[in-house]
Amino acid sequence: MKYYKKIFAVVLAALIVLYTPCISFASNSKTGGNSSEYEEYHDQINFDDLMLYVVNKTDILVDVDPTISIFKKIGAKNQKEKYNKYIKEHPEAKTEMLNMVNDSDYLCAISYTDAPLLFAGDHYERIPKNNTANINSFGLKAKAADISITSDASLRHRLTLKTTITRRGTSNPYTYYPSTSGTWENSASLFDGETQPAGGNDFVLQSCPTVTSSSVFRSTYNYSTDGSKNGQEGINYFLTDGKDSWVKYEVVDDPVGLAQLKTFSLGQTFRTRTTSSTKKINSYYIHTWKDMSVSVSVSGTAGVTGGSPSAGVALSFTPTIKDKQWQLYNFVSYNW
Amino acid sequence: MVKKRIFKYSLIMVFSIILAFSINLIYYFSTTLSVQDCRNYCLENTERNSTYFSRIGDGRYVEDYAYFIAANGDPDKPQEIFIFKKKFWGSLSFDRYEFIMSSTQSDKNEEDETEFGSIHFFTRNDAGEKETGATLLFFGANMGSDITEYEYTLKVGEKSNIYKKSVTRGEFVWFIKFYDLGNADKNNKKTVSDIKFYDSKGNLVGIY
Repeated sequence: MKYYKKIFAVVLAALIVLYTPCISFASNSKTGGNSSEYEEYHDQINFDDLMLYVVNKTDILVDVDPTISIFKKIGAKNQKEKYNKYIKEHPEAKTEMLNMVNDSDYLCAISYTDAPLLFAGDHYERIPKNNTANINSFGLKAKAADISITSDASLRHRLTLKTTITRRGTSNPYTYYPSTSGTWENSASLFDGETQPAGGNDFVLQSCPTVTSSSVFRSTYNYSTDGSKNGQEGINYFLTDGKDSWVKYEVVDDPVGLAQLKTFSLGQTFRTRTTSSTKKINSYYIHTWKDMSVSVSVSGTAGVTGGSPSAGVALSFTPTIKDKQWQLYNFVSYNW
Repeated sequence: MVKKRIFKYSLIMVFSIILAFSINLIYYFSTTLSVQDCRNYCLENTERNSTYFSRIGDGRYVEDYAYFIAANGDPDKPQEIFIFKKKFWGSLSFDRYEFIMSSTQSDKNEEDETEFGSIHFFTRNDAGEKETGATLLFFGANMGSDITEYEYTLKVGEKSNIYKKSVTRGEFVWFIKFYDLGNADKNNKKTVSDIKFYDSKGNLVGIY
């Protein structure tokens, strides 16, 4: 009996040694886990172990890649469920992804943070956690004392801050293109916009774990500003600060005027080595309805171009006013 | 006594390794398909009711993928393809494959006169890593389809050129493959666009 136990132990040890290289779990993001005092939902989808393909130019399909190891398939199945949830909550994203595949863009990951908002007469408010009154379609609650509660669906809103990572290149190190975008769902209609005072400019920031080579910004508006709904550099948005791995753009937003911000996107480019540990790209949006400026503090240093990335570069802010502004944060973790 | 024990454990270790390899090999053969198995899989799962599938190789120096295209079947149904990837056992292949995907679009409607199918996807290399460059396939059966030439605009960075080529013809089927799209180098992007299909008389019969 003792002899058989030994044989069994040795066989088991040999099997473990033999299969160890196969047991490499994909590093996936975890849902939630933020310390925000406001209601929000964060998630990330990694596409490395998923098949993303387009049939007849019009149908995008996502499935677990059948060629990966059985252990990776467990993680990939979880990523597929996250993808299904994301598409259910953001149906417009399916078209966006369809276009990405049709453009042959290799999608590494999508990370997003949804923030439910209330339109409070002339500005948007975030909804604090730990509230009591059931108020909106997002299934979230708010204190009646903090925010004027309404059942008017036109006053309920959601802002999604999303970061999409694509890459290009034939071998490691690759060139990465993180793009952070903000989308206002169900923006406010024009409330006597021309007679209302303009709100202060908003701020969009992004920091990368490696020195970046370029940045690009775009904005779109619900109504025509200077003859176009597309924001124009120097008129509707400005690069106002930044160092080697982060940038700060200032963008015009007037929630009750003509320049109602509909979408914005901020992209950077960097070239780095893929590693076995995850590093973060941090994205921030600071919304205000009063003129203010923001000073930025940076912690962490960026990795050099083509080398290994740093642990990440984090930003913190000091606005010149304490109230009439709020922030939204999103991050994406990936094996750079 | 010690020598005897060392011999005994060595024997167990060798036996265990042989056993582990054997289990692994059995798993490899039980989870992969031979070429004939691939063809049978296509016949069992065809939506076009095709009775014959032509096999077309990858066309690259390492034939990692095998494409099986429906050569006949219901002409009112879309063109059909099944894609399989070669699976290696260590560095040995034994010409075994695993199913990756098939074209599963819905029935062709009356307005849609398209005589070709297409799939845009990302392949994996020998090491199992997903490749950054995309692959775009066009395919169809010769039956009911007379596509002989195609024209496309290849753009790399800011430079673009128009090319006209003959389609690759297999046994009763035709096939076009673009690869490494979106991926020219770190600064430039490679894309194909304005893809037009012509019949043997030079008539334009399809646009992608």
